Amino acid sequence: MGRLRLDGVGLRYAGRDAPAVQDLYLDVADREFVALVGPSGCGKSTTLRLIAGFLKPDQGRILVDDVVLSEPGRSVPPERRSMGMVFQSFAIWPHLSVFDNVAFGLALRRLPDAAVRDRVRRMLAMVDLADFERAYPSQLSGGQQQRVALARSLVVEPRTLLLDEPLSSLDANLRDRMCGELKALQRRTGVTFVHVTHDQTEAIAVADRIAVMHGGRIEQLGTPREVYLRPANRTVADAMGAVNLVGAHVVGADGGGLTVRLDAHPELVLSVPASRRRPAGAEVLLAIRPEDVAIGERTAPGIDAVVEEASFRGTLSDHLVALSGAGKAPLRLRARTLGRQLFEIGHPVRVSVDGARCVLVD
Amino acid sequence: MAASAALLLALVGGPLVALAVQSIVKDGRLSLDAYAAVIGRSLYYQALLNTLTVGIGSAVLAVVFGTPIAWAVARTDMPLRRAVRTTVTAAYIAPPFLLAIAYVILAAPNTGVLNTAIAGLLGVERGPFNAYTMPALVFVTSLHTFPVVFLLVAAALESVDASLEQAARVLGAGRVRTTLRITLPLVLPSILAGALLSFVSAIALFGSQAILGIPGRVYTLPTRVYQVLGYPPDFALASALSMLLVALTVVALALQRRRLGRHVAATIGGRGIGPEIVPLGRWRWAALAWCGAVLLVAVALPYAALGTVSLLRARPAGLVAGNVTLDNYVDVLLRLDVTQRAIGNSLLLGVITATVTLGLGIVLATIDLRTTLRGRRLLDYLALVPLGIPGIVLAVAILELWLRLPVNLYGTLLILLIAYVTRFIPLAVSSARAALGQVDTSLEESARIVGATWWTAQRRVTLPLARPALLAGWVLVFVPTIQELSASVLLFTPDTMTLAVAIFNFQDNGRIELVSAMGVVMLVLASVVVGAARRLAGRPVIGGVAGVPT
Repeated sequence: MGRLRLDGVGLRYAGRDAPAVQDLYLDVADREFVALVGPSGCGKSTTLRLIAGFLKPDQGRILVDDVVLSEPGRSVPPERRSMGMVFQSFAIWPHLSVFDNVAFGLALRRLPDAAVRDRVRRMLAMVDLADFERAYPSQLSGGQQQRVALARSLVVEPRTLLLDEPLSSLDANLRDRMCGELKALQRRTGVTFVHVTHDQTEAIAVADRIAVMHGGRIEQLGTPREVYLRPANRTVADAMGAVNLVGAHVVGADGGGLTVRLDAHPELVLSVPASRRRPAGAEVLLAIRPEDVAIGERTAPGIDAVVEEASFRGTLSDHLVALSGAGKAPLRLRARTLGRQLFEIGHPVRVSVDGARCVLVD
Repeated sequence: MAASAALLLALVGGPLVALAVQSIVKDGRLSLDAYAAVIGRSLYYQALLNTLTVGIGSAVLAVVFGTPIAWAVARTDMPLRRAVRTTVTAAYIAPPFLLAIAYVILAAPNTGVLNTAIAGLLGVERGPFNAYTMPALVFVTSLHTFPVVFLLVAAALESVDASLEQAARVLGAGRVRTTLRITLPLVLPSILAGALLSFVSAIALFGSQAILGIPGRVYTLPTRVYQVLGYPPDFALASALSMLLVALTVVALALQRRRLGRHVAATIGGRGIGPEIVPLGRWRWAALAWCGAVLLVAVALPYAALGTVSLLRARPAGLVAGNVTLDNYVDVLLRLDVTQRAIGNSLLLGVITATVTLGLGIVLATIDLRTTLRGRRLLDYLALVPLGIPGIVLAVAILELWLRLPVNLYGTLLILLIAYVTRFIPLAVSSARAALGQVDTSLEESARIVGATWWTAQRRVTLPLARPALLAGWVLVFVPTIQELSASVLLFTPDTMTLAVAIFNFQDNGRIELVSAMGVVMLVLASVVVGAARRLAGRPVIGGVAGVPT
């Protein structure tokens, strides 16, 4: 119940050259929580609206439990897909009370009044809104409206719940809390969730698997650890958070990996994991997360560097360090430390990079 | 989609084609005789010049009256701003021909109230005013059209992002320089748009031009059209004159669209910073005096005159004991067949026109807003075409179309209904579009996804949410329908007399006391409907019911 499959789905909007989405293959297991992540315009919302049936693909098929819902020339209307959807604006009907908002879908199914009342109350209790059933949307906070939207979609027991940037209109603290609640709700209801967001930390926090989208395509599909720690290419590395991208050349093979020398700083020779062999002299691109660039006092091991920018972020501190090398322009790397380990601008430091944590992304 | 397109095409396209054909065909052959007559004969040529004078003159005056009031209301601390705004808006809703009739009462040569009063005060033989002249026509027309300028400019002034002005102040510009160099250029497109719309409205005002122009032999294109359709009717000439009027209208509207398109993006910053209010100090009273003076001549004097005369047995005797009576109202409402029939017809046509037009508007707006059908832009454009057709021209065109068809509609209420629906489609479409546009698509989509069909989603979500705005749209069509004169005056017969036509005809016969009473009845009808709609729509539909515990 709830296995969702996209089979080569593509859509081109009338009058546009580039397709909005193309070659989408995605297999979401029953009860799985998948997030679609990418910058605005990458096609993630289009994908969601294709799944919902508000858009019709001109290529490929969309199936739930092996039943075709969309294919070119044939599309099951949204109301017959057994899905739920939560919109960025929440889209709570302002002319109906909380109770009536949630009861709307059940009433359409011609359930007896008592059953409707019972299920609405249980659902409202589940999202912690038991005391608000007679309130109107304008009397609710953003977080409460969000929960009404969830309750309204889940009360009809959909096979799949689609969430379109559901947290982006909430303030930061509430967003963190709702991430946890979303995940808990998904486990409790056993509904398949497809969640669209531009915020990679949100996706990492909620999803079982993440599909990173760019230019209308899925660039990588994997668990949060995979896409963050082992990005398939530089687009994915970039999309999943701050990253240093530096050019290097292969100088040799070693064990399961490669030895590379950084172009901008020949003293830096790293041994990095690699899935395939490359000849010596081959050009590669290295992705290094700021938290994998270690900085310490001049007594620590590493390469001499100077702090050029530093900003305290609370839990963390962000630095830009310049590694003085042999002539040429210095190599600049972003480095992240714990918040209290802030170095002053102009402070002389030593920098080291653990090659085992670097990723080849070319 | 196909049905509504066909209906629109029949309503809008049919009459226009008939009109164009009629103007170039004579005795079954192609002929430009009618146009030659229009250009060659000085009386028609003069009508064109007079029309331009009325249009341009009143547009300039409308800017002079409307812009300062808009600024004072929107951007200063002048007292009574809300009352001024309400009164100006009310002046816009009142029918223009009543204003013209009121100025006959006030400023007819010799007998006008203002003339006799001034003559009495100064001890001279006759007062200075003459309502039956071109300057009077321009002035009275501008008193009807200046609210257009006011509404557009006030809206623009309110939507100017205050930070645009604050940026100039921070850089060292004073208040006056900021107003002249930043604010004025930002709202200039709206001033021009107001002037052009005022022009379009002015040249089509058959009622004022007939009431004030014809007695003084000041003829315009609409009044010439009316005249050449007297006995024996010359349809070719009427069509050529009509085409000329359409051309003027279309040029002005095209200019207005271009002007508006250019700058409007810059005015609307919309970051939630309200406009800055300019403290006027002692000048507040000067601003209020200007607003008061304009509203005195546009509203207070004319409607006081109309109201007073409606209570008099015989106007020349004036407001003295024994001359005051309610007889005129009794005549209009209870005794006279013709006025009772006219009121009944107007109300019936108003209700049907508003309902039919708004229904069509909802269908067209839904196609435009919620679908991606091919050709919906064209449909949209077609629905705006009637804006370019003055009422009397539409009547000529409809007459010509239906005279060629085997079904005889002349003399029925149906032909009036067709004319009204066609005239007011643009109003209905833009109201419906505004009403439905404010209901976000996601509200409808979230109903679909939990199992509602398209129709259920419309019925349970979209239409209820749009209802207050749709009701306002209904009123917006109803009110001008019961006041419609310039198309009705060519399409009515004694059986299908409407209130506006009855007023026009009685005025022609010099029954000014009855006319005034009918005018007051018309104003009361319109106000009652507007007030009722406000009550219905003002209900807190959005925002919840009071007293619900949270």
